[in-house]
Amino acid sequence: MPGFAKDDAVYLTRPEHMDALFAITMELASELWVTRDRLAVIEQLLQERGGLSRQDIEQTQPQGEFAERLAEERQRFLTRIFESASRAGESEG
Amino acid sequence: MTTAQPTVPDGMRADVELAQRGRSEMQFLQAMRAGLRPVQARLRTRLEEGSALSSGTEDIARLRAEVDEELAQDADPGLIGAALRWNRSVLTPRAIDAFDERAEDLTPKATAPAAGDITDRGDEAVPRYWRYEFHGTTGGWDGHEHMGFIHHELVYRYLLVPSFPGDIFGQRAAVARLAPRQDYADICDLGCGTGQFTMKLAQTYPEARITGVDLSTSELRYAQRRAAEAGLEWDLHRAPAEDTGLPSEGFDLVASFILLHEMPPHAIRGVFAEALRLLRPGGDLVFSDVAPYRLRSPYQAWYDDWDAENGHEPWWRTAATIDLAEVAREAGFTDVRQEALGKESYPWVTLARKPEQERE
Repeated sequence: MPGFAKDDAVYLTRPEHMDALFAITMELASELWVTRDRLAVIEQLLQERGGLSRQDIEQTQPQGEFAERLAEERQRFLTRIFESASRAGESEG
Repeated sequence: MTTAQPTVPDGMRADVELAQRGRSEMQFLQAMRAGLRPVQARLRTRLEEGSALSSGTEDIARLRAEVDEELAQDADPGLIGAALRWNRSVLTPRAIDAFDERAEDLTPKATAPAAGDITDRGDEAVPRYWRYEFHGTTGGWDGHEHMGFIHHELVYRYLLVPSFPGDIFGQRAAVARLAPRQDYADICDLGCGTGQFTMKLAQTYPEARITGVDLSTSELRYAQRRAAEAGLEWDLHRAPAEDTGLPSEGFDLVASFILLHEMPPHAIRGVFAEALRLLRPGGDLVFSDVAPYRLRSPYQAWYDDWDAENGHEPWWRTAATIDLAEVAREAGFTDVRQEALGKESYPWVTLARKPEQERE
């Protein structure tokens, strides 16, 4: 079990300690998601049009299969973060 | 790809398009709630298989204490709580940023057509709880000129509509239909916000003159905009629901939707007294609010109370434990009855009538 939780089993039940680190983690995760989303939009537009402008990226509202794929990736990303945190104390053995 | 909005919830504009950052940040916050569900589901299973919930819902402080003891070594409540607190703390600022990123396009869609027509009871009537102890939104309910638009069109669309079970606008329509008469001439919606429930009242009783009361100027302004776009004209008034300053006996229906749990018990009693004053003899009261803990399953009652604590809902517990039927009778209402419209007793509706003759 990596990290600080090993030394302090009740860490996660102390919100005053938890919140600052958690906020940093989520800010980073949010920024990473914005970048992943932007990359996905760029890839999609390049595939559809062969070229694009900054305005194309800003104005795109994902639709249909692309919107569904992004939503699935988003949820998988967030589920993995929370599952990782929730199961941090579990050993494999 | 087209640039149209993918799905437009009931009562929202179809032409609200965010830039890539704003859209993906709001979608991230929505996905956080979904990403927490497996952890929440496992926690629920552990609680339901344990003994802490067996103390029942009559004494919520005891139920919380029993669950706290059972979960003393469980990391998940801390994780879920931290996630929800962060989500809620950044939600409004993110939505404001998303609006500002597209301000040139969105401001014309958010502006009230005749803001000067909104009457104002004045700052001296604003109660303490509105400034200090009201259900928090970071930056305050008037923290942006277009906070009404931001909440209705962005926060509801991206977070509340996808995250909450059931059809939240359908619930408002069902409560509007519950009022006992069909021929109301003058309806007052207390705590109208951006007019989500007000719109359902207006659609259900199209002949009625509609008045909306709220403490937030920006919410009232967007309510006016929404009404105007629906071809309606509402009388909108900034005032506390318990001290509206509106003329006595000016209404035959006084209604509210999820207002009461935002205020302390003395203010709830004040709202019933004010409703009695506003109603004509024989007029109806229809107030819908959070479900009482005693009617929830033990897990749901525990979660409501725990979630309120983590969601800056300072008056949820008192609202979920007060006897609104008794409050209505004490205020002078008769024919008091209560009705649960949905799963786990939500929406929970209190109906009452002002006596034809005032008591001696």
